[in-house]
Formats: sequence, C-alpha cells, structure tokens
Amino acid sequence: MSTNAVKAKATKIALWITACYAVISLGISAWNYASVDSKPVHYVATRPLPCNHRIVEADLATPRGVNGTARAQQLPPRTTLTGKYTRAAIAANQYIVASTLRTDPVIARQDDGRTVVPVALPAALPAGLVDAGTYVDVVSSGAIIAPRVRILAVTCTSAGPCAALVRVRPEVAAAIDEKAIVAIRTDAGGDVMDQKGWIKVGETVEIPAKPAAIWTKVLDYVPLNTVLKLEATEKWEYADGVKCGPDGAVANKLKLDPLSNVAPIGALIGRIGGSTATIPKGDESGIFAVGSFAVVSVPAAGPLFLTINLAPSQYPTTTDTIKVTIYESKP
Amino acid sequence: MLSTVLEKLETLFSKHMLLGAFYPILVTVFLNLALLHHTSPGFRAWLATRAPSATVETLMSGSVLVFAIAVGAFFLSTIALFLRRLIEGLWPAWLCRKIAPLQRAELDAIETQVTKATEFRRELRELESSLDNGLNKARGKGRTNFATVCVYGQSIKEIIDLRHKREQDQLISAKDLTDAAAELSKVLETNNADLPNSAHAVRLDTDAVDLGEHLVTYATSRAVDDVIAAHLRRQAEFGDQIVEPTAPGNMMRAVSSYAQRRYGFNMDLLWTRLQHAMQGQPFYQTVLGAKAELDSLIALFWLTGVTWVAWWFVLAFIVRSSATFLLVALAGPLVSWALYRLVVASYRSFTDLLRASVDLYRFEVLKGLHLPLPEGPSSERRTWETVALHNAYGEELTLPYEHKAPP
Repeated sequence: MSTNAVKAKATKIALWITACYAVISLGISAWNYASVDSKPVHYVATRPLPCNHRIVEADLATPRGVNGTARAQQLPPRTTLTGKYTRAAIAANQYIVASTLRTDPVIARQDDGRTVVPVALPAALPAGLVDAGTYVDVVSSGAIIAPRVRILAVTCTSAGPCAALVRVRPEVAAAIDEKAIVAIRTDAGGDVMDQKGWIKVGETVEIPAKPAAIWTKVLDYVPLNTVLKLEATEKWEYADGVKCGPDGAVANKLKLDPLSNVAPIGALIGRIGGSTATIPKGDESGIFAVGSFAVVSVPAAGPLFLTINLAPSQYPTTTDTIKVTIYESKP
Repeated sequence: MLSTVLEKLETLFSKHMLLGAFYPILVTVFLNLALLHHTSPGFRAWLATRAPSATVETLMSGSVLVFAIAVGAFFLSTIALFLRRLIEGLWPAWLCRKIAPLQRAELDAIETQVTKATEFRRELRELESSLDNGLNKARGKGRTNFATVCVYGQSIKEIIDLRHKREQDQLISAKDLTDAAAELSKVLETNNADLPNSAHAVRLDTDAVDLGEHLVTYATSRAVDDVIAAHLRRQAEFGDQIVEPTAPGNMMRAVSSYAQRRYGFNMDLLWTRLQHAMQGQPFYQTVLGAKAELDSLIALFWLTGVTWVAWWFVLAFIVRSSATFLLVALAGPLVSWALYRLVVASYRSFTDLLRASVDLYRFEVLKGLHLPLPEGPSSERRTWETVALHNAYGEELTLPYEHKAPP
C-alpha cells in the first residue's frame, strides 16, 4: 500500500472514530438533559400531610436518587415552600410540587351559620402536634367554650404566635376573646384516640387470604381526613401449611415477595384509593400496615381496600379469612 | 501553606521525583477534587465541615492527603518506565502490526522529501552558473544590437512572482528560475540595460542582477536548508531499520541508530556506562532535567487520560449531568491530544540531548573502562565493536588496558 493510501486510510479511520465519539457523547448528553436535567426536582413529604397543612422545614426531604447528586442543586430553596399550604393531602414520600401550594389556606364556605375564627395556639405546644383536621377544645379563662372543634388550618405570622382557624357558631365566636386558646382534648368527652370516641362502621368483614382480585374492597368511600380504627383477628395460611395472624410472619424464612415493605409477609395491609386490581409500586404506593390494630388518618378520599401482604402470584389457595372490624372517630 | 509543603518536599524527594511523579499526581488529585466538588453536594457538605482555621483535625487531614499524594508519587515513579515504554509502543504485537504502517508511511514521506530536496538542490547548483552566463550573453546582445533603446516600463511577471516567493520564504524551483531567465533574456536581447540616464535601463539592470545573483542564491540556500532539515528530521525521528508504532518510540530508536551508525557505539549496552561517565558534568544535569520533564509530561498524559475516561462514564451514567459531561467529553480528548503533542516535542529535545551525550562523552566511557582512546573514526568503530562483543557475548577483549598513574 502506498504512503498516501496508508495516510488516507488512517485519516478515514481517525475521522470515523472522532465522529462516532462525538455522536455518542452528544447523544448521551442529550439523553441526560432530556431525562434528568430538563425535569424539575421536587422535595418529598416526610410524613402524610393533610389538606391545608402549613409546610414547615421538617416536612421536606430530598428524594432518594437525588440526594448527593448534582441534581440536588436544582431543588428550590426550602424557604420558597415553607409557610405555604397544601391544596390537597399529600402522602408520605410523595412529591411536594411548589406550584400546587397556596399562600393561604382554602376554607370552604358553609351555609350553616357558623363562622371561621382564629384561636391562638399555646406557645409551648410542640410543633406538629396540631394540624389541619385535628380536633381540639377552645378554652378561655380556664373554661371550655367550644368543645371538640376541628382545626381547618394553622396560620402563622412573623409578628405573633400561630393560630388555629376553627369554624364555630356565632355565639361561640363572640365569646372567643384574646385569652382564648386551643387545648388538646383530654376530658371524658373523648380524645380522638379514646375508645369511647369511636363509632363502629358496618359489620365485621372477612378478608380472604386469596382475594378475588388483588385487593378486597371494604368501604366504598372514606372522606378526607377521616380517622379510622381497624381491629383484626383470626389467622390465615400465607404459604403451604404455614399460618400467621394479621400481624404477619415476622420470622418468615420463606422466599416470598410481599406487595409492600411496610409490613411483614402475610400481614394485613390496606390502602385508600385506586381499584381492586391496583398493583402498587415502590414506597409511593400509599399502602399502610393494618396488622391486628391500626389507626389511620385518611390522607385522600377514596375506597378502602385490604389484602394479605404477598405478591399476587403467591396468594395462597386456602379459604382462610381475617376478620376486620372498622371504627370511625366520633365527630 | 502549599508552597511551604512543596518546598519541604523538595528537601525530602529528589527534584526528578518531584517533577516526574509528585506534581503530576498533585495536578490529577486537584483535577479530580474539582470535578468531585462540582458534581457531589455530599463532598461539598463534607468540605464545608472542614474549618479553615488550622485545627489539629484539619492539619491531620491535610497531612494525610499530602502523604497519600507522596505514596501515589512513589508508586508512579516505580511504573514510570512502564508508562514510558507504553507511549513508545510497547503494545501487543497485533496492535503494533495495525498501527506501525502509519509510522512507516511517515518515514517514507520523509525519505521522499529528503530525495526531492537533494534533487532540487542539485538542479539549482547546476543552474546557478549557467543562468548567470545566459543572462550576461543576452545582455551583451542587447547592448550591441540596440545600443540606444531601452523600453522596460515595469518588471516582468516572472520576476515579480519570484520576489513574492522570496518575501514569503517559499521554495523557488529550478524551473521557476529558468522560465524567468528565458523571459528576461528576451527583454535583455532587445534592450540596452546599460543605457545611461534611463530609468527603464536601471530597472532592467536591477532585475537582471537580482535574478542572476540574489534570487538564485536565495533559491539555492533555501534548498540547502530544506535538505538539511529533511536529513535532520529523518535522522532524529526514525531509526535505520525497525519502525515502532509511535513517534516517541521511533525517536528513541533513532538515538541508538545514530550512535551505531556514526561511531559503532551500542546505546543499549553502553548507556549505563555513558551515564556514569557523564556524572558530575553540568551537561548531565541538563539531561536529567529533560528526562524529568519528559517523565512529568508522560505521567500527566496517562493520569489525565485515565481521569477523563473515568469521569466520562461517571458523568454519563451515574451523576448524569449533561453540561459537565459534555465539557469533560470535549475537553478530555483535546487535553490528552495536546499533552501527547507536548510529550512528542519533549521527546525530540530529550533524544537530541542523548545524541549530544554520545557525541561528547563516549570517550569518557573508554577512559572509565581503562581502554586506549582510538586514533581516528575507523579505529573508534573497531574499538566500540570490540567492546560490544566483549560485553554482549563475553568474547575476549583484544584491546590493551591503559592505566593512568595516580596524580
């Protein structure tokens, strides 16, 4: 091969390699831009946040997969979110999108004659103890002037202490003065967690270990911020010849894949919303553990489903059932 | 603080170690830390916890880093020879077979250039006297036949072109000169270039003298320069027979070939002895400095290459940052290419020093071996061949020893 031919061939190969390298590099760069850089990054909720919740620093977490990477720089400053209100309930680990937050809480108008008034929160009240949806008493000069009222939202200003917005009758509103404060309910009338404060919802239901679909529907519709108590008994066979109660098999050594990692294999688990055929994914599934006893504050309205914590393909062939009794907190 | 540390290190390590291994590692560590700082918030957060004040912990961290760099430098210095051989073409045979033809083509091109330049010079040498004679004859004819005529309003195009080439330091071929001489001769034959008080005659006379003397001289010396440059390039960049797959490898081979061809001096066998003979000479420090510079550039070339290739993958598939990835993907190869060019340039000056070492200090080797100095080039060649046979094959040394009496 002549000198010129060798040089021409080498130049051609070098150009090809350079072109391929440039195309691959530009392609990867474009792919990274399209799939990562161009998409906004959001914080996730550290816990379930009710509607009208006022965002505080502790509610915000950097999502997994972003933390420790260059994308974390794209997160908005936390101060742009704190102090704003959620427009709808946000489940734990779900994105908190800045554009969905409001600067003021949304208070629905009701034509029942009641008015919305602010009541001061005690300065010593631990942060996060009361929130939108919490039931409290309004106390003035040591006397309860409005028992068991629901907080619509908590508002705070830089000037003074935080206040709870509550809806009360006009005569009660007139009685609320500067000394009126919010008090957590501890009287015999029933704390929200008190047994006497619960109302049984329907009859005890049986949840089969092998459901007809993925989930067994228990309630058609549960309103937002409803507090439910679930009590479960009996045992079911979660694998051939192996039984467990609603709390699941804590010491399970079988190779079984659960639907969710929030509870042990074979435990009773639940979720609000979706359908009987929903196969939830990851930690953003909204699944909660029920076990033998659970109290759940409903983060978003929807139907209540229960099932066994196993992969659908591993549902047992048994006819065993778990009996579940459901209670709703008294209004 | 860093300058103080580096100054202290100079007392601990040799200058060669610092330049050839420590600084490249230092540069690479800073490069990697800068990229890590840019891409990793975790690293930035950790860095922020390091107080700028000189706490014991900070000093310890700094000491650990410097110690780690020093250990890295030591390790790098142990593989410096391997890295150098790698850049000189110590590759698998199949890869050498693929790449070496390119260097062979480069060698062929240089040899063609040498041949052409030599031929060019020969043609010009032949033309030099005949051109001047031809112009003088034409001038004589014109003076005789057209004693009162000289019409030469402007210089002919060929002369203007030649002057233009000279201004731009371009080559002037024998054909260019012959064509210009033919055209100018026609003018000289029909005009009197020596006509008094004529601006046209002055112009014609100037052109004739310029072509016959200055332009020809320029063309010849320019051709000689080209021949010398082509010969030097051939001699400096390639050995006699074997062609290595890389330019640095061929330059190193050229040194051995040079010593062997000129003096019969076998560099592979006698390099260590030559080094010993040079020790204590200021020139040896120059050679060592050039080698340290070369080692430093080679280390930087490899470390930078490994760095950008590793970061290419990290930024593409783990950190997934499009802008930083693009920057590394574009700047990485460019920096490597630039460093390779610097390595090649450094090899050129280093191998030149090696050739000079052979030229200047080869007799010191003979003195060190207590062998008599040769009387002339042919006896020197025989001497080195005898020494080589003795060293390489253990053949009997036929030369007498020469011991100097202690002073």
